[in-house]
Amino acid sequence: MLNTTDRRRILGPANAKPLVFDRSSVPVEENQESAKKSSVSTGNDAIYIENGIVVNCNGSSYLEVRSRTNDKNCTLLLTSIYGPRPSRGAFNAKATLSVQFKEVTLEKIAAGQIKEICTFLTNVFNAVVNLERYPKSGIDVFLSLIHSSSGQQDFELESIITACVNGITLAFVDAGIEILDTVSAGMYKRNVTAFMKNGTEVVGFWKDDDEQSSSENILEIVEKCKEHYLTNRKTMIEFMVRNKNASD
Amino acid sequence: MVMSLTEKRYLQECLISKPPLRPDGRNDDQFRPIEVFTDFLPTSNGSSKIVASDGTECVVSVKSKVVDRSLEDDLIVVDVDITGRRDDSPLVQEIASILNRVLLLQIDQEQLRLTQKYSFKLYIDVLVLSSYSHPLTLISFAIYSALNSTQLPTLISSEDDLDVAELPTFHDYDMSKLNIDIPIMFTLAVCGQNVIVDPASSESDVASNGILVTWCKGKVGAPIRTLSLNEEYTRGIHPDRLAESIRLIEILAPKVLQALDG
Amino acid sequence: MSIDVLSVRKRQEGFQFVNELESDSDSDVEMANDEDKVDSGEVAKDGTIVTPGELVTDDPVWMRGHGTYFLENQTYASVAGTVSRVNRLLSVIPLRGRYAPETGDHVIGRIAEVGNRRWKVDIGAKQHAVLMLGSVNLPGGVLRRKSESDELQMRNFLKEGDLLNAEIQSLFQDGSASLHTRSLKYGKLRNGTFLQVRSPLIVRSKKHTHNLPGNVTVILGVNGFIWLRKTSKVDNASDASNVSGRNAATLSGASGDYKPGSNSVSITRLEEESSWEIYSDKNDPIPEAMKRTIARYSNVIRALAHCEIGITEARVVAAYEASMAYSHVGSLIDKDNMESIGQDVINAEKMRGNA
Repeated sequence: MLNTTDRRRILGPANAKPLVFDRSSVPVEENQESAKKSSVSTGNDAIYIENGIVVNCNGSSYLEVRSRTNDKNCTLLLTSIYGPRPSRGAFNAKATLSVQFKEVTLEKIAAGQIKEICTFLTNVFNAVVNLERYPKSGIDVFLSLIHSSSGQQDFELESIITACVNGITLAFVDAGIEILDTVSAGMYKRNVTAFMKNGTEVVGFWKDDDEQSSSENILEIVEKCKEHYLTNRKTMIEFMVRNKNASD
Repeated sequence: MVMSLTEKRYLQECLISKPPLRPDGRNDDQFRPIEVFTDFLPTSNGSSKIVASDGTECVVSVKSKVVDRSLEDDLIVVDVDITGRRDDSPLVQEIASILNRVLLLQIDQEQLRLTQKYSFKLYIDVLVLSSYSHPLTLISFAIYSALNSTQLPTLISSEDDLDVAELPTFHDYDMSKLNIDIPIMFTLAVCGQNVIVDPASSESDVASNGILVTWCKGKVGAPIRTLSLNEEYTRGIHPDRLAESIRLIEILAPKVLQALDG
Repeated sequence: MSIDVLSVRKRQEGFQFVNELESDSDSDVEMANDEDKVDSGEVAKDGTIVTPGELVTDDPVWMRGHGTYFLENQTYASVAGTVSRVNRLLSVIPLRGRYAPETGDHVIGRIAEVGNRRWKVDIGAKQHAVLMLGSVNLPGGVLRRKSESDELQMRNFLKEGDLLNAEIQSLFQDGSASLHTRSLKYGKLRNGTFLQVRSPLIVRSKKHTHNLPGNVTVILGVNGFIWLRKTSKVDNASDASNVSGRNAATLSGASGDYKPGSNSVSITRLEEESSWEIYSDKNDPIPEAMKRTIARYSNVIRALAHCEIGITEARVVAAYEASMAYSHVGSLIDKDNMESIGQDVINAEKMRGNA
């Protein structure tokens, strides 16, 4: 195997064997996270957060959102961030952000819709990540949806998007990448709004039903989403503080 | 389009001033002039071509097929092709997905019903020949014009065919106009405190954010969402801008439809 | 004045086919085929329109230039364009096509690539032009020597996307151009907006930088790239020297008034003062009214291009004056209005008898 024809490199002797490490001697990554675990319940949702599960990436987060009122409504999402890492090609004064979404267990969402979610999330975080600080680099976000279900439908896109925004923010914090604010999303009916700056600025808005779409009602929806945003953000910040205290 | 830093700064300064000074002097609620050609493809049931003043061109063809209602779920299929972009590029897939969903959501499938058993299925093919700015507004105008010019064969057999094993038969040359409510979509750019409609490519490049608003059946409908217009200048917007853009469309959409129908 | 939100032109028939067009020009085509046919030993007249494959001359004494090919002692056109005869050189100038650079052309370009001691510049030609580090003015005056540190900070002078105006210094064997910006009137472009028209529409003249009424300066690049900006001190100085022919050291503002001491800037002093500012990415403060004027100028230039009228300083000014009939700048994007402005410009020239 070692001596396949690679004419650009000086190769070892023909009878060389690859190095094999004794597996048992590798220290198993002990689960130190037990202290970091946090299950906070706020409002209608119970949220479970864990950081740093994926070892080979630069930052990751695991999110479990379970609705209190509806037992079946549950979202499990793993976010991992790779980067900033050097990008090839033309010179770029800012980092480029890419978001990729994948359902790792059951594939229920249409491919086109996944692309819509990805571009939506990319747009949200283009406004949030301090990309100027990382010239000539790329930051890749991978979202793995482990499970999602809701009562009536097979899945609820809006709760997935909300979880994605919150999960990506937590992963960015874990990766130590500069972001302008703890961005979080709130959901009301089938509307999602992502906020920053304490709810004064909208970085993403997603509305998928016809109800209350007049200009007066929109602000009402935004207000309702903001309430959910504030509780979500509180949960996230509490987790980060607790996490910090535990590691001290 | 690449722009130099000084160009972008000049343009941004112009667009955030109150009222916005657009590079071609347009008002914030003014669209670029378009030319509409309809019904020029002899092999399709309806067709349209729209040419915008910046050279963006979009051709839409509508073809129909008679299908068994019990076998088909979605009676409208949209296919999007943008020259210069791969079919699996994010923009093409996103636009195709949005259009498919909007048309299925907003068009009442009952209006395509032919008989108790059978229905028309519409295949809408969109071809964007050259595009400079976000093509969604233009595509939706083109789909609107194409569906509005669509003629379907007139049914002469009985509508009640539940018990009879009979295929629908059509008149030899009589056609009847397709009559459905067609949604249209608008892209708006937010620049500072301003909201502008139909952003040109240079305007999109310095916009703080984009907003997509759908109009159907005389009111604003779903989806409404923020839209990526550029990577460099994207930032958060005040919630009032969302309300403003919807208010703007509430005023503009009837005028736009009037112009397209006129 | 109320403006239509959306102007829609409707065409029912879709495409128009050339052979369905009713026109009197049919006879022209016939003529070219029969009576006007080039006879043996003759050559198509200067300025005749020829199409690819058309015989231009069968006289072998002519030198064959661009846009022609030679087959069995006969010269044919290879592009659609007008015949041009300069001494014994016969060429066909294409009606359309990419810009073909010529030495001495004043062009505007956009940096496409930063390379080793050189920039690649997009000038709308078939190849990127080259701007060598040695062909630009660097901060610190003319006598400054280029050092290795300059090579390392080339992106601080000009980076990808930056616009500059330059002169074509020379042409390489393959037809690509080498640029230089070794004069104060060349260099990085600021304080304005860019637009592009087809390059054949720009009429070559002695001067391509013009100060227009309203304190706006236009640079009509020969390659069809156009820059509109707020008139700068340098623009005023070069304009005054051109108009009055006075000593550059005693110049003043655009009006040419002589005001000793106040506001007078000499070109040589400017050159000494030229520092990092010539590569600055910051715009000067520009009043709203001037931005509106710039938008109007850019719309009238587009109108001229739409009407296929060659663009010169006089015509830009004439079109600008004609456009004043439309108080709203945004109404100038309408096709009918553009055509009426074009018509006004042509009529005005006919009246003066120079059309």
